[in-house]
Amino acid sequence: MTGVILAVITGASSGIGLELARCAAADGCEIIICADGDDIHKVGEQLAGSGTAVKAVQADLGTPGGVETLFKAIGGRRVDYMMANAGRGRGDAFLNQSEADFDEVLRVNVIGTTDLLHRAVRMMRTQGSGRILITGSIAGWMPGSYHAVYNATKAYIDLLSLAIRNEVNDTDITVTCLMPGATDTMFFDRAEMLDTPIGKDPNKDDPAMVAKEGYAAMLDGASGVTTGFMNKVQSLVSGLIPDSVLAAMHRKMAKPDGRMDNV
Amino acid sequence: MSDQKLAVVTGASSGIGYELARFAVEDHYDILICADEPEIEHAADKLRRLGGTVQTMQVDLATRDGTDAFWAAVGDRHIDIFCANAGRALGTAFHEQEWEAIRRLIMLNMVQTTTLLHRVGLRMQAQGQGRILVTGSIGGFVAGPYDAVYNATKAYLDSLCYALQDEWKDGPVTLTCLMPGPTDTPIFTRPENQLADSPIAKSDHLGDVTKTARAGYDAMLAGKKGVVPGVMNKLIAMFAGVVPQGILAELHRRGAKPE
Repeated sequence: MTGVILAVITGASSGIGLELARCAAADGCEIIICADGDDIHKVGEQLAGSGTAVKAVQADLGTPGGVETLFKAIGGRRVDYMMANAGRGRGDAFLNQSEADFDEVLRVNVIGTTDLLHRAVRMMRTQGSGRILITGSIAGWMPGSYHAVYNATKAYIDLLSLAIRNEVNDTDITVTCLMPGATDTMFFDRAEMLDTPIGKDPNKDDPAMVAKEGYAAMLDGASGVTTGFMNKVQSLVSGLIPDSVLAAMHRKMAKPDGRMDNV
Repeated sequence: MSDQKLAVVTGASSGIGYELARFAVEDHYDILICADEPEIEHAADKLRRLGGTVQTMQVDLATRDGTDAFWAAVGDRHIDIFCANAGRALGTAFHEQEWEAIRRLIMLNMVQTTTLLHRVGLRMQAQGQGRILVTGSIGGFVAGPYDAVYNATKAYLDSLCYALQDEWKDGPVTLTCLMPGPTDTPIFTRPENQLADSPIAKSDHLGDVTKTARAGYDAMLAGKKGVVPGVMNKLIAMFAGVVPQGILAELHRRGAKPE
């Protein structure tokens, strides 16, 4: 039992979350992975095939019961690494979305993630140490015309991550915010953004590379990491460009082609 | 009656919301105001003495039922002005806060505001006219230790406002984001906000609530995108883009950590 490092990764059935789980597995961690679809079990079997101790948990973290289910699966064990990665996007104009559309983004990205972090910080304060990696986004530094609620939820996540990091700076807990740019995952398909310039962009970042940088930053206890060169440039200049200009830039990337606006 | 203009203000029992409602009364709007406390009736009495036609609702917008009930009270009326102002803060360290208090803060500051903006946005686009004011905060530019979730909720609102302004830029509806600095309102004294013991609450330099609200109200009528009242706050908003967040967080800790 001694010496086993337990890593928990949410949103691990595909994309950056799956790659984070692979990083932890390659690092010799025991892992608990979670996602809302039943494909998480198949992912669990694949990872277990390479000799990793894996527990797969199917739970929708956008529901109060979902976060509880995950923590029941953790079962009061010491968690060394908590990677709060689960998130959803939803493209199109705000007024073309239904309330259920943006509600899901808020439930998963904000309420679920905050609940998870709240439990993780309390748990790690009791443990005396631990590492937290939160998947924010460079979208948080740029108002998201035609992806408005998503970008705003990432503004929330990026800022919350930095605030919690400051609060625990006299402990052995670290909080790292992974802020990827557009990454080649299922994200744009699920967000119904395949008909947008950013959805069609063939030069998206490799999720394995993004996860590797995030995992390394977490182990270093860095405050944040922006992956990809263009994304670094973008996050650097976003502080200097007025928000209204950033919003207009975002429109060019995220507005669906040839669809009527509701405005 | 039918040509009488309507202004709706949430969180109007005190502070910035009350002042916004007062300006609307002075401008001869009929007003519908709400808050989650009985003081909304005292506010309404004062506004009626100024000659206003005032409809009130005591409702908890941190719940979906409350939000729906309030929207039902708005009914299918033409809305000329909508001030999405209701919001709360939550001091002390993140791990010391109760989850239920955090959840309610998110529901009130983010989910409720987003839902009402969606409904009001659709209504005003259909009307072909309308002005919206959202009370964001310069807190949204700064990581906020010891008020962590609050600042993050305001980062959400600030970001959402700028995105919607761009989406609506060629339409008939304007949306203005009021981003006050620390202002002399009950936000620092309400026991449930848990900020009364913080240095910022005891500061002699809190912004004047009337001036803050006035800046927001005027910016809304002028259809401006955003307004940061006060010279110091303008400086903070400007520097927030260039000073590393780690330093901003440390500054915030000094102001917000309970003594």
